[in-house]
Amino acid sequence: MLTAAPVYGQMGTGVMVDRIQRFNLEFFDGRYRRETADASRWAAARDVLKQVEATLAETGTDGLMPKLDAFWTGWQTLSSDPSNTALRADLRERSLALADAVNRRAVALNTLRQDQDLAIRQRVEEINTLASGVARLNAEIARVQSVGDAPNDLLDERDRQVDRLAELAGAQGHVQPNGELLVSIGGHALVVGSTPFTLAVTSDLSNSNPARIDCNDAQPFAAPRGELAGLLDARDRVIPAQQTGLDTFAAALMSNVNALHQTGYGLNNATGLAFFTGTDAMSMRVSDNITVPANGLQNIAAATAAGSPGDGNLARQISDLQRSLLLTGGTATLHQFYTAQVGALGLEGKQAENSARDRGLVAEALSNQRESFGGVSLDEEAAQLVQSQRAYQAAMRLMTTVDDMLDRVINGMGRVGL
Amino acid sequence: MRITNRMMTEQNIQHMQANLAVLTRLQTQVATGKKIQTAAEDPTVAVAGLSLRTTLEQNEMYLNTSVVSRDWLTANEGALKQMTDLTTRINDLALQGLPDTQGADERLALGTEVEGLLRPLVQAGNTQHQGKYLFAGFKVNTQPYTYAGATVTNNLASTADAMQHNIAPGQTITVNVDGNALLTPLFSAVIGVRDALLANDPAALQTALAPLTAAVTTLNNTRTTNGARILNIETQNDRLEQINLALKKLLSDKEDISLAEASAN
Repeated sequence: MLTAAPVYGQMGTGVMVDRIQRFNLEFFDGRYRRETADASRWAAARDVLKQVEATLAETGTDGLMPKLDAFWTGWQTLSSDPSNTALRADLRERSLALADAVNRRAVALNTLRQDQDLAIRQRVEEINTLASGVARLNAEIARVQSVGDAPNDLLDERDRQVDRLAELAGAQGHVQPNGELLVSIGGHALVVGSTPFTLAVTSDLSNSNPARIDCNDAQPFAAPRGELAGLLDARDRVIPAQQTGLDTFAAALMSNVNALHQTGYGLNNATGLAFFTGTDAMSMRVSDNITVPANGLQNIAAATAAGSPGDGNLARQISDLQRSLLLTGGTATLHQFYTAQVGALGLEGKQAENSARDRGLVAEALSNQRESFGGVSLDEEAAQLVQSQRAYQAAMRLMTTVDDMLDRVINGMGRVGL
Repeated sequence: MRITNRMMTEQNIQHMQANLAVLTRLQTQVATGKKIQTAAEDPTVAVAGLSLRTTLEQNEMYLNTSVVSRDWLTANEGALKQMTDLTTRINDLALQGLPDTQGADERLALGTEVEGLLRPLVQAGNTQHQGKYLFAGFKVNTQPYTYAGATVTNNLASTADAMQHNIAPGQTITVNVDGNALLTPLFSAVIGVRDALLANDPAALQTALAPLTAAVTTLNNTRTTNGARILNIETQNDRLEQINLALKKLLSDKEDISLAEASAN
């Protein structure tokens, strides 16, 4: 307990301040910070996952799967009437829409990842600012306490800043005997005494992503909890997993369609042409062979042999790829693979949502406990005010009585000779 | 527990927030008619919905293809029926020319009529459906038969290609008829009958009757097969329509809200 020494030399003002005491228990502070850190970690993860889901828009009508279905339908329809150029044009439109949908998702995921990176940089900057603030407060508090005073306002301010640090990165504080607060994140010191050990941000070329955070001791920084933990997890695990999945999906689709398409013959007997070009989701395009206005439609191969305008067997084979187990070591169709990915993302989102809510409730309960000890209740204060007032009145009454007594003794007694 | 004013305010705000969140979710459900907006709300439903929608789309795809297939098969049926009618008449004429009571003039008249029927028969072999020759195999843009100088020429060496259409997952149906296998013997049999009649040769006519009968049998068999395929497609169509309905119901069960339930909540 931090107390201010009674102030001497102030007799005669009517009241003597014994001490101004600040209510807070380090135990509650620690637990509260741990829980808010967890809550904000999940809240950050939840927000990012929501954005990823909105980007993929899989449950709406604009999903990738309806586009993929339309693509297969295009081939199947062409197989039933292969010399019909209207059907070929329709297939080309569907293929362009599919490639476009894949591209848009790839770009959006990339942008989303960069956004998280920016958010991470901002958080690190905020942590560094707060760390410097806490260090300055530490110095001031130690100085004031050394002369025996209680710097209550400064202590409140320092607690507020450490609370925010806990929210950001799961920081923990330990009060030292001299009143200074030692702040650490995941075992690495952030503030010792009046020295802030700020985090360093450098560009990480190995991660294809710029921001790499290092502690002051040159160890890589890992936030155990807090918003940063959620953001880092989203940037380095959740979003890359979706990107890899999308790339795998696009690559498998392109290579399998191309492999079949190259064996077939177009209406103009063109053969060996690729249908798609590109290597991943970002670079996936419908090949120029198909989009060229002059003979692109004729180049679409639907026949298994040259000079067979009525042969739609190749188109049928390509359409049948929708049921082929092309992915996950030959255990999943393209559709199953992507659906599983959407499902996994959904589960993760649900988990983040639930955890954020649950941790939030626990943090709230702890905050209430802390408040229960240290907070101000107006009713309580009013009651105590009345109590004090009554005590004052009683004292006043006593004074009057004593005054009366003295009056009687001095002015009423021993009036001899009057 | 000691209660302070700030605790009360914060708890009230929190509870209001929680209730508002529930209200928003229910209102969105009512407005969109869907139980979930994102996969995170219920991953199981979302994944089931995705699979169902794809199955539905595939089903529609098979339904659309089956319409094309049925059109083609119906066009086959039309051409084959015409051929049967013509061949029946030719067979009648051949039988009329057989008795010894018939003289050279009568046989000449019969032969001329057969000659006249051969032309529409070849035309039936060149029947087009949406600009494509029915009996030309994969060479749908090439006219398969030419009738000139009293003979029929096969323009295509082979018409044995089978046009296969998907009518269900992993199930295909052949929609075309091998023109040469059916028509080459038929044409040559008809030409044999015609030549025997024109030459007033009852013995040759007698010999020419056997290939004609064989060609007629092939024609009838082909027509039966074609008819069976039409029937197959139609049953398949009925089944697909039923599956479609069932799938739509299932999808609605999974994804759509009950308005009454949402309102009550």
